[in-house]
This record gives sequence, C-alpha cells and structure tokens, in this order.
Amino acid sequence: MPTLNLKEAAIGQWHRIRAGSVPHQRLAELGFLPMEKVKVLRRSWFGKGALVVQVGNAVFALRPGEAQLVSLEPTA
Amino acid sequence: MSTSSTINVSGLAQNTLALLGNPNCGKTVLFNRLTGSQQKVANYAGVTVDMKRGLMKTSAGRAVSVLDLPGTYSLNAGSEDEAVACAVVLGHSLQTSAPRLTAVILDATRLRRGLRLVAALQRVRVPMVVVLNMMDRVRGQGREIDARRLEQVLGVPVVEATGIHAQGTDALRTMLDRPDLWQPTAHENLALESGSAATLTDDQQAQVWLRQAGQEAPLTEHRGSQRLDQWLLHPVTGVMVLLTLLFLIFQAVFAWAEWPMGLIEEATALLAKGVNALLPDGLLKGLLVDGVIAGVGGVLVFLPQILILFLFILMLEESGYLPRAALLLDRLMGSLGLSGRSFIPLLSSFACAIPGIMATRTIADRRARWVTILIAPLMTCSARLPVYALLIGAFIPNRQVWGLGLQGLVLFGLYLFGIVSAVLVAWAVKQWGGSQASAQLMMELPDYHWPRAQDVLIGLWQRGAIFLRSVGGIILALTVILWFLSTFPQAPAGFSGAAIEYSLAGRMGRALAVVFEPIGFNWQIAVALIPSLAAREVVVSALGTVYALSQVGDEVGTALAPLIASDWSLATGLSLLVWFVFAPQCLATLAVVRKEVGGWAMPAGMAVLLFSLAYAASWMTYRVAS
Repeated sequence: MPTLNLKEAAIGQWHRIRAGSVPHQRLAELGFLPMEKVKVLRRSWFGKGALVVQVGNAVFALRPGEAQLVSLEPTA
Repeated sequence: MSTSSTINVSGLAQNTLALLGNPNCGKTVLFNRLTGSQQKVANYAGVTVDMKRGLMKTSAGRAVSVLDLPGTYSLNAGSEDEAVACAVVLGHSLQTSAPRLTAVILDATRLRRGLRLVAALQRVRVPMVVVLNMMDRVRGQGREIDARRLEQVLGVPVVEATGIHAQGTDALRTMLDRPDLWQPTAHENLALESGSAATLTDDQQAQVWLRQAGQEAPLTEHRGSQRLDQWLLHPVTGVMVLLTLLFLIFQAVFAWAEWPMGLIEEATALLAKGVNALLPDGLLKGLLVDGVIAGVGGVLVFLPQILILFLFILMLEESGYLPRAALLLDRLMGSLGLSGRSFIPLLSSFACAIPGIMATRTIADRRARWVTILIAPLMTCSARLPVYALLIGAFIPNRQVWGLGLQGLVLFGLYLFGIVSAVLVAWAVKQWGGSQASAQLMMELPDYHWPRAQDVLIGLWQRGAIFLRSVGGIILALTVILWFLSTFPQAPAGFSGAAIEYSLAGRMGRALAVVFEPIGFNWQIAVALIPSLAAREVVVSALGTVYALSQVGDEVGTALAPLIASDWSLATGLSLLVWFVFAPQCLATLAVVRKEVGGWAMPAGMAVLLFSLAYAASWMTYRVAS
C-alpha cells in the first residue's frame, strides 16, 4: 500500500517528499521540500496529537492537518 | 578576553553589523560573546522576540554596532518576530536604517537551510559575510567543512566562529577589519520574490553550493535528543515531568523569593525611617515617604519573584525543553482554538502579562495570537500576590484543612480560578468565532543542550533592567499622583473626618462608591482602585494611604490587615479577592496590547470584558457570602 502523505506515514521509516509536488509555503521554508527525506519519529497523545517529524537533519512538531499537506513518494 | 574591555555604548559606531540566521543556530550565544554586557534591548522582551543592539570591537579595536535579530527561516516573514528580522536586513525597518553588513549565521550541522537564506539574500544583493557556527559538532562526527572552499563557492567571505569559547570569535573580529567589507553600497530596492517557487529556487541553489563544496552527504542526527524525547514527549511520563517542573518553578518563585523580598522591604522601611527622622514634618516629607519611597519599594519588592520565574523560563528555553512543553500542551490548546505556541507567552504571564503579551509575536496565526493576548492577563501575575496576601491574611483563618493550610489552599484556588477562567474565555471565543481553521503549530524541536550560565545571566539582567525601567517608572509616577490627589485640597482646620475625605481622591471615591456598592466595596476601596490602574499591587499601599496610616511597605500590609478585617465584612473581603482574579486595571498591560496589535479596539474591548467579568464574579461572591 503506497503512502500518500506524511500524516499516514509509518513511524520510524524514511520517506521522500514527492518530486514535483507544490509545497505549502511555510512548510517549504522549514525544509519540507521535494525529494527531501522525512521520517515520523512519534505521534503524541496516543497517536491523536501532533506528529514529531524529522526532515533532513531537523526535527519539527506538526499538527496532523499540517503533516497531511506533505505528499510523499509512493513506497515500493 | 577582548569582550572585557569597556566600550561606550552610547557612542555611535559608524558601522552596523546585523546577525541573521535560522532559529536555534546559536546566534544569540554568538551575540553575547561578541558584545559581552555591552548590549541594550529595545523593548520588554519575553523570550527573544526583540531586536537587541550591542557594541563590539574588531581585532584592530574599531567599534562596530551589532544587531541581534530574531531567528528566521526565510525572508518571507511568517510571524511578527520574523518580520522584524526581514525588515531590518532589507532596509525596510522604520526603527533602524539598513545595516552596512549582514552576517548570516549558519548552523554547520544544518547547512542546507542556512544556505537557502544566503541564496535569498544574494538575490536581493544584501552585502553579507557568512559565519559557520557549531563546527565543534561537525568535528564531533569526524567531519570537516572547508571554509575556504565554501567561500569560493559562495563568493562571499566565510569565517568559522563559536560562541562557546572565549577565542571563538577572534577570526570574525579580524575579518571585520577588512575595509572592503564596509564599502557603502547604493541600496537597491530590489523586489523580493516570495512564495514556494522562490524557496524552491533558493533550495536548488543551496544544493548546488553544497555539491560544489563537497558537503552533500548528510550528518547523522542528534541521537541523545531523540532518546530524551522518548520520555519527555511521552503522554504519561512527559506530562508528569512537565507538571513536576511547573510545580517546582512555582515553589521556587515563592520560597526562594521570600528572603530577598524581606531584605528589600526592610531596606525600604529603613530608608523611610531615615527620611522621616531627617526631614521636618510637612508636605515634602509626605511626598517622599508616602509617595516616592513607598511607591518604589512597592515595585522593587516583586523583582525577586520575576527574576526567579524568568530564570527558569530562560533555562528551559536555552535547554530546548520549552517547545517540547508546548508540544505536550498542543492538544489541550487545540481544543481552545489555540496551539502549543501559546504556552510560552502564558507561562511568562505568571510573572507579568507584559512580557507574555510581547512573546505572542512568535505566534504566526493572527487569531490565535489575539486570543492568547486576551487571556494572558487572567494568568495570576506576581503583582496580584501582595493583594492576595493582604486579603487572605485578613479574612481567611489560618487553620488546617485535610492536613493543608487553608490560606495556601485559597491562594492555589485563586491561581486555578484564573486558569479556568482563561480556558472558558478562550473556549467561548472559539464557539463565537465559529469553525475557523486551526492555529498553526509547525514548531522546531531543537537539540537539547545544557544552558550556559553566561547567556542565562545576560538574559536575566536585561529583563530585570527593563522591568524596573518601564514598569517602575509608571508605578512611581502614579503613586506620586495619588499622593497629590489624596492630599489636596487640604482639609480646613476643624474638619471632623479624616483628611483624605476632603481631598480630590476622597470625593472621587464617594462618587464611585455608588457603582461598587452592589459588590460590597466601600468608598475607601473605590479610592484605592483608582491608582491600582497603574499596577494592581498599588491597591495595598493605596488602601494604606486611604486608611491614613503613616507606616510604609510591609508595615502597611501588617497593620492594614487587622484594620480591614474589622472594618469590612467577610463578604466584602472575598468579593475584593475575586475582583482581583479578573482585575482589568493594569494600564501598562493595556498600553502594551495597543502597541502589539495596533489600535485601541482590542485593549478597549479587553478592558470592558475583564471589568464585566470582575464585576459579575464579585457580585456573585458578595451575594453568596453575605
């Protein structure tokens, strides 16, 4: 099952942000750019709260709605 | 150490250097190292939201004025604090002219995003140098970055620096002696392209540079931080740690502050005694003792508590923990239409709402920022403490309930009442505002590291100085004005009542008493509420003045308590206690709100809302208790 966006990504697995996707401006400035490596480190509040996400070498907290804006390359 | 030699900060340095960089790139540490104690904060800063200006010396001894700008990820400002940084560097700021040179601070472990900023600045031809910071961490991984090669690739001077060693800034100081760096350039007002397309272009440029400099292989992540997060972000252990920390902070604010507060009170009393003995009876003595000394002492006494709270906030911020706490509370805040970002301003508001309101600048979402500003004054600030202490001491019996002191429980209850009210107000605004898009979180969680004493102390010193300057001035002025109002016109000989009843303040109080009668306040309270518009704690010394006591400082409090206990009913005491949970009267807070949001609509609305809440809550308390 290919992963579509960062909100649904499995914890602890590296993904790539989809090439050619037009990113949300603020997310792009933070480093969520096409082809960049991302990994969900944890989901707070028993999976219901904000996501802790590593992008490149930095870690960010994103709300689920924000993580949903990041489309990922389909996994093999 | 080159920073120890004194430089005259007031003298104008010809050359201005702006420090720009991503958040958490170690910019402020570098700034502290460059300027030492030779710095000034333009405004009441909560948590690094303001522009700081300092003076440094180059290796040849030339003075350079340095600006420490808020961290930013790009030149498209997402929040108010980023807007400050971008405006200054691009020469759009009204507060300061464009800096002659901009130093872009790069976190060497996160080169790519720093280089995006360099690329954006190059597009608009901002004169710059690049400073490679945190190289120790790169070397810790057995890696190296060749600054010469990077310099060739970027086409701008590159220098390595670190804020954590005394000699860490020597290379930068030497470089700043190069006269070619300071050539005045005709400022071109190039249009800045923004939007995600521009970010993508900048990122492509950054990647090209990285390849050319041989730095495309990524560094490994900070494993220690991720291990700590396993515990500190856990919904059970993380929340326990957060609650324990908050409990310890509030314990410390009360327990540690007791001794210095006692000292300040004693010193004030001693000074008043001295002036009392030296000066002949008369108006001047009255003004000095009852007005100036009581006023200044009344402000100084809160400094220890404010400093202790800020000590903890600064240490938590420096260590990287604060954004984690904000993340833990994000879900709760989300249900109120806010985000975890509101936590830091609200925590600061327990010391004083003013730095808290200024710290809301880091909240990009306009509506979330307004709601945070609206509820910040409901957090029990330290100015309410002396009022609570006086009233609790006078009306709440000192006995044990379930093994706990009743007075302490009531105090805790008042804090809780404030928080619950804030939650209700935020919730009501959310309901009334309808279904809006939820506030943005998108918050970086920096690596953990030990806070450094020098940086914490500099931050603490700045906050203390600004508190005394801005808040102290207002309180002093209003205390003196109250003294005038309650002294003039002077009662004629043979006037039967207390002298104050004849004065302007007395007459105003009688007029206002009509308004406050339904909630149980007598005319003396009504008079005392007027000067407490300046600062809530002034109500204590104002009641003292009104009750025509001649003691000062702490003595006012202790002598006043039995007096009001016998003069007021229990219902009046409780009603006044509840009044101060909402107490809208803090002009300094309202003035800061006006400055932050621009315009009087918001502060006026806030004053009306808080006044209505205070009146309603006091009315209910008075009815139930009597």
